[in-house]
Amino acid sequence: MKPIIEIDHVSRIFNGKIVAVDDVTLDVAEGEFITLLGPSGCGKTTLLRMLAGFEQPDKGAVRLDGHDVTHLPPYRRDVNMVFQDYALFPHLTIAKNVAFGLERLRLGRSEIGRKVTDALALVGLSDKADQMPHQLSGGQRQRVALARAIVRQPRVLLLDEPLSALDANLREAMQVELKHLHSKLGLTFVMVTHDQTEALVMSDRIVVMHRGRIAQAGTPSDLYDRPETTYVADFVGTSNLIPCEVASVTRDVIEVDHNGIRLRCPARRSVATGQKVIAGIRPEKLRLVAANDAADANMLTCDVEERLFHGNSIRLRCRLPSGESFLCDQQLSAAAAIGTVPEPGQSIRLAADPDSISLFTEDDRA
Amino acid sequence: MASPQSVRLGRLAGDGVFVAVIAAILAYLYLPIVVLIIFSFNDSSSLTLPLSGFTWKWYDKFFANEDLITALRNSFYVAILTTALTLLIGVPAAFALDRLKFPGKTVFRRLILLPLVLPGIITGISMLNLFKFIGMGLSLQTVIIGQSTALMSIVVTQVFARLQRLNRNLEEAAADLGAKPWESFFYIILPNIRSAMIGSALLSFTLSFDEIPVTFFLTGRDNTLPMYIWSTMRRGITPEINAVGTLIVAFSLLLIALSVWLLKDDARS
Amino acid sequence: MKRPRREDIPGLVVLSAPLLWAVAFMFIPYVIIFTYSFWLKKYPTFVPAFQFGNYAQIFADPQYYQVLFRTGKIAIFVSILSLLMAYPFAYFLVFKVRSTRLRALLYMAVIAPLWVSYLLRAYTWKTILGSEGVLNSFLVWTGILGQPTDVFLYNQFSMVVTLTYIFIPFMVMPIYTALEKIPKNLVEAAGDLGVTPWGTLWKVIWPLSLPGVIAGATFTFCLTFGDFIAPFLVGGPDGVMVANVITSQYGAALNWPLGSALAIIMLIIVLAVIELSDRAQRAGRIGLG
Repeated sequence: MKPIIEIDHVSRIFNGKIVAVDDVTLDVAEGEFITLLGPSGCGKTTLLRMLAGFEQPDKGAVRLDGHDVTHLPPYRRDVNMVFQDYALFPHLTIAKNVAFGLERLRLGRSEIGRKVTDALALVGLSDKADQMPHQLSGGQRQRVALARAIVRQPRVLLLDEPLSALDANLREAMQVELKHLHSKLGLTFVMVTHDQTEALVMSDRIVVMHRGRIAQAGTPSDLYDRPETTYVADFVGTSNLIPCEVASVTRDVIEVDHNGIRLRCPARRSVATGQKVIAGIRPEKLRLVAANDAADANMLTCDVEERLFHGNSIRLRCRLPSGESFLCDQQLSAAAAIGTVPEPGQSIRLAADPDSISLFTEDDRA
Repeated sequence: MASPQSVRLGRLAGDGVFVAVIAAILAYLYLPIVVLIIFSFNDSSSLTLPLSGFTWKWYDKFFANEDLITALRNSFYVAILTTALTLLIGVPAAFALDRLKFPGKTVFRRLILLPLVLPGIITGISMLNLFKFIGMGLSLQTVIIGQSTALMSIVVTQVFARLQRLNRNLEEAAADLGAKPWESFFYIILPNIRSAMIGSALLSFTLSFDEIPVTFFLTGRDNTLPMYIWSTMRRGITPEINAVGTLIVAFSLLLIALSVWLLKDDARS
Repeated sequence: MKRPRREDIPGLVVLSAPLLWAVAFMFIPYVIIFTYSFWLKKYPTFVPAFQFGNYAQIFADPQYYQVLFRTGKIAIFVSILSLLMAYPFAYFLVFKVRSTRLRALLYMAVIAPLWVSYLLRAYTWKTILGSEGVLNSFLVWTGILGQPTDVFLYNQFSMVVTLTYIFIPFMVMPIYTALEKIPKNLVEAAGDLGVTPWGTLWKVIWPLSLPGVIAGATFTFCLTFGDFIAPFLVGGPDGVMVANVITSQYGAALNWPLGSALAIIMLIIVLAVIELSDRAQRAGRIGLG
């Protein structure tokens, strides 16, 4: 099926020097909820603005539903955007704000009224129709911005860090609400955010960007469980990155060595013995074991340096005999109370889950 | 360390001095205006104390004075057209300064803003030279052109400041929702710079009404009110002038009240 | 927006109007006046030429350069006096008045006179200071003076009084704005560190308000320098300022070249003051944001 958005080798260079977007190619399927994820300056917002029409690519083309829209102004594209600071028109009521886009379509007055009422009901703000933007809270303004963007039923809805200005509790609620809205409306959503939790919760697909390029694109679990570069491994979730050397390679198993510690994982890529690699282990994939368990591969003995309380888990900062420090998260459940969690200064033993170990070669350092 | 009591007394005395100073300055500022108003009702041709009785006759003389009424009408005519011109040229100028990059932009900005600090006589003379050069006779129209040039900077600075504070996203949002550039300007930008435009228009109107240095050099046969007053002053003090002055004070207060009322909603946003 | 699109063309046309106006009515006139300043006065009017005679006349003839000095002196006096009165007023409004309503009211009270005719306000000083005027009759009536004196009017004193009166509001505005921008917590911090109110004023508030002071002083100086109304109304023979001389050259004397040369000199002086003031303001601008 033809993708609804085709970004074809697009580049954007500012002032001839700053490369904001570097030869990006991406297809978005219709009805998808895709998120551009990355830190500030990675090019995600520029890319979004090129979809909206506020920026023009210096190279490449953007196609919407097969039509080339690369140089088309925003008011000719069937795309609508929810701005980061909402950009509500301060001199218009909420209802008139939402109606603005419909009035540009020269629809009949009663039809506009009906659509506005429906849109406001959808976001739960029917009673605020006659108020002014400055009378609403941040969360309410955000929903107005949403209503205003979806009332024209665009093919694609763009969201520029929609939740960044909300406080934590509201953010979580809105994440779920947006996801519901997406499945209810069936529109294609393209969202930009720097918050990886948001991306993981809401997206069908995530595109991680780094310095103007795509680092990795895939489903949330793809990115989380099978990161392709050290950058992605540590940006999406946290990852311990331990430098190792390949000790042995068989058809099914690769064994790497870090100062005598042996780590074994399934053979998912081709490496040679003696090659320098980085082993990635997520903090929550380490299990506390008793000191007298048989010493085997995937066992790490270390000293606890610090303990950080995270509410439902405890993060231990540990140090290996080699001097390498890393993190280990211990879930606090009904069975494991805080009393059982190791104290600083203690020496502990951790077992790493082999299936969760990622290997990165020199080329994968982003 | 001074005792808390003496510190408080000292502070009270200091505040007392302050209040006295403020009152003195305000008295200084309003003395001439009060004198003007009082003597406009004073039944005497001379402007000395003690006061004679109350009279309306100076106001009657004023309304009967054909030349004065004509001058007043001319002033209105000039002020209205000048204000219109300053808006028509000044608002686009503010936009040009806010958005466009073009060679000579700094020179353009300095030229537009110069009449604000430059003594009016220089603007007046330079424009007089221009009109003589191109052979254009002096009239109310030349006065209008001269005043517009002098007062344009008021509109430009106010509207420019407002534009700078305007959120760029609003125009992007408008375009995103299907508004073409002129629609965006008309429905989104214009309503939001309304207060700056009204405020500067009112100020422009008031200053045009009272404008002297530029008008002085560019007046032809028809006088504006200040020019008429100026010519009668040369002939000696007449109390009708006090009446005119008082009416101008009343009119100015009206304009101030009008501007405050018109702008009260915008003060909030 | 890189490429101007078809819909942008009306916009560009509209934006070109102010540019044309600036060239026609702001740039060309200055060129013309500059040209005229080199022309020659030849009975009955004047003819095109290129000679520096007008400028030479200004610098050689005491009649002219003395006027320039006098004008400068008066302008400086007026600036200083109006500063001395405007600053306490603004300071009081910003730091001593608690109620915002009262503050707005007092501010309006200072600004309101600006909206009343300048000519009439200057004229009333003539009636107040004259030998038959309000001040004299008051002094005689209270017995301080035996008979009316004409020492108050038609001299530099009356001009300074009148001009200061006119320009106090113009001084208050930028100083008020500058003082308002000073974060209150700076003043509190100074007090907390044991600085007296005077010390705070001198070391914290005054330096931070300096850009506003400079702006107001520049404005006052430049406009006073070019004023011809106050001298005409209350000036008298020794109160003639440059603008009056220029006016007479353009009037009965029909010596436009000399008038233009004087105007150019005035223009240069004023532009120099503005440039100096801009630099001083920029140097003194400490980020308060």
